[in-house]
Amino acid sequence: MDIHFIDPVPSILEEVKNATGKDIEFIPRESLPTFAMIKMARENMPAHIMYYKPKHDEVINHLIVHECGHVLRTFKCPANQRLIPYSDKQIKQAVLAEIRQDIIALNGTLSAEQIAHLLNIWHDGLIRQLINYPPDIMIEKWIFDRFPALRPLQLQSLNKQLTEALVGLSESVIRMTPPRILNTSNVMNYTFFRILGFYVGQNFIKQYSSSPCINKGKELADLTEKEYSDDHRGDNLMIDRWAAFLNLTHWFAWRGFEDVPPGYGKM
Amino acid sequence: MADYHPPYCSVQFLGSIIDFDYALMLIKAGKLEGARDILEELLKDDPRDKDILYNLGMCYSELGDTEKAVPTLSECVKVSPNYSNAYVALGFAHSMLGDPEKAKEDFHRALEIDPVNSYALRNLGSIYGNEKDFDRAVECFEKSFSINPEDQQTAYGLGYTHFIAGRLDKADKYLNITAELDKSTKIAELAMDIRREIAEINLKAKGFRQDAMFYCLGALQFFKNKTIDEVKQIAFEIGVKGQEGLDINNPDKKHTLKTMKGSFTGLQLVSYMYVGFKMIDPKLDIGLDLSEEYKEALKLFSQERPHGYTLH
Repeated sequence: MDIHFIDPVPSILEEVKNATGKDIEFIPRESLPTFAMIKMARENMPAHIMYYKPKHDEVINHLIVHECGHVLRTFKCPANQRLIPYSDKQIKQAVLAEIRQDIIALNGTLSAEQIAHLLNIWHDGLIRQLINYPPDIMIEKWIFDRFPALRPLQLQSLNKQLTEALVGLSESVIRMTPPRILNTSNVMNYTFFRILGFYVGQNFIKQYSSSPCINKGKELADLTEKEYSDDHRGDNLMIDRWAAFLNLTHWFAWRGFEDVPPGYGKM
Repeated sequence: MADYHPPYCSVQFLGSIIDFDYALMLIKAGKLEGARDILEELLKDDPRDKDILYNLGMCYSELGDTEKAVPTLSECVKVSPNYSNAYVALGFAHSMLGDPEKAKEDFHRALEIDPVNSYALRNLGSIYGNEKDFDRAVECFEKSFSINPEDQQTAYGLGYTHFIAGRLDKADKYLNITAELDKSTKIAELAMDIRREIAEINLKAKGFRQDAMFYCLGALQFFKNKTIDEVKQIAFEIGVKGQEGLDINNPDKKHTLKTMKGSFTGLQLVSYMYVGFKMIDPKLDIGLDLSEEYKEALKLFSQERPHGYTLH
């Protein structure tokens, strides 16, 4: 493996092994959209799988700890109470039918193929934000508190994420995205960076000063801070809470952690 | 007082709400063991909470633990005597325990409290259906369905009861509604199976079907110069169409295929599929018996001459 681990990564990997009874296997993946991403082991899998980009910098250490945070939170919950959000063809089709008109209204000249492509991008993007941001907030707080040595890398990592999020405020994206979808995405971005910015002592939200997402974002941040129960169950309840707040409840459903499709563990 | 929570317990109370909400989330996701474990814990702190008792009782029932479901739900209706759905749940548990009389009492009590409780009506309908009191069963199911027309189980109950009672047209209507409500469920599959059975009963009610025999003959002629892969493609496409429902008793309704030019009646397609599958594997059962018609068609086909065949 060509990753140079820095402290505290080795001890966190050990912690995951002790907490879950399974090692983490590292697999290189050129096509990964990020430096590292974990596939948590199910009962019938011998190990967790950490995919990583062979070409990376030391920020990967922060991402590995972050992914381990997901594993530790999930496995701390009794096995029969673990849930994961999912979407299937039927759920996705219903959502796509709902937002199709928004995209057509925005640009009647798009071909059917272009519309389908955009629908998929927006659907998958919003779902990813919705199901990741709530636990990510708590994991980043945990990293900040427990691993001060990682803070510089954490900051780099969050700033990189912020740069990607700020694209949502650009003219070109505003022009080609239905306001309802873009605003929902920006509200989630704003909430995430508002909470974490305050926590780590950074102003991540200055570029949002004239964005229409501020009021809803503040409201969502407020309820997140007030109502979060800091564990796997709390993560899932908060995802549901965000979904209700953003009117995305019907965009996904829940199933048992072990109820994954056959072949899930294949690499 | 059940709703009183001392201020010094406020943190624990907030935790209880979270636990309870999470238990509901688990129930919705079908993870009943997990929900049961949480609710059992919550009940220790709050043994008279009607919502905990109700949901825990439901979990027990769904998990087949009716011995625990009955006392839990009985406690629930004792704590909250006007909780209509709790009586429905208790009735369901009694019914699972093999005590239909007590179950009926519970469902009637639920209806006294809430006369439009569609679940009470549906469950009562099921019990009457089991007792072969089809008229009362249909009456309950119909009332339930008029209150809750999106409920697939009620539509199925109506269809199934009509089917058992021999009212095939009405059965077919409600089984079709059942499948249309959500094609992805197990209950929709059951409804489609019965619809196929009804179609076969209707088909065979008229005895030997000369029209089906000629369609089989047409299929034998059509498939004569096709490769087995081409036959498979056509037969499988008809099979898929059949899953969605082919009305074989309506000659006015026409269907089209991607693999075969023209428009066809349901019976014609089923005959083609029957012949196709017989060519692929004679042992295959397509769920519709056209064996007599196929046998006669084969006889005619073997006697066929370039100028036509001879009818005996």
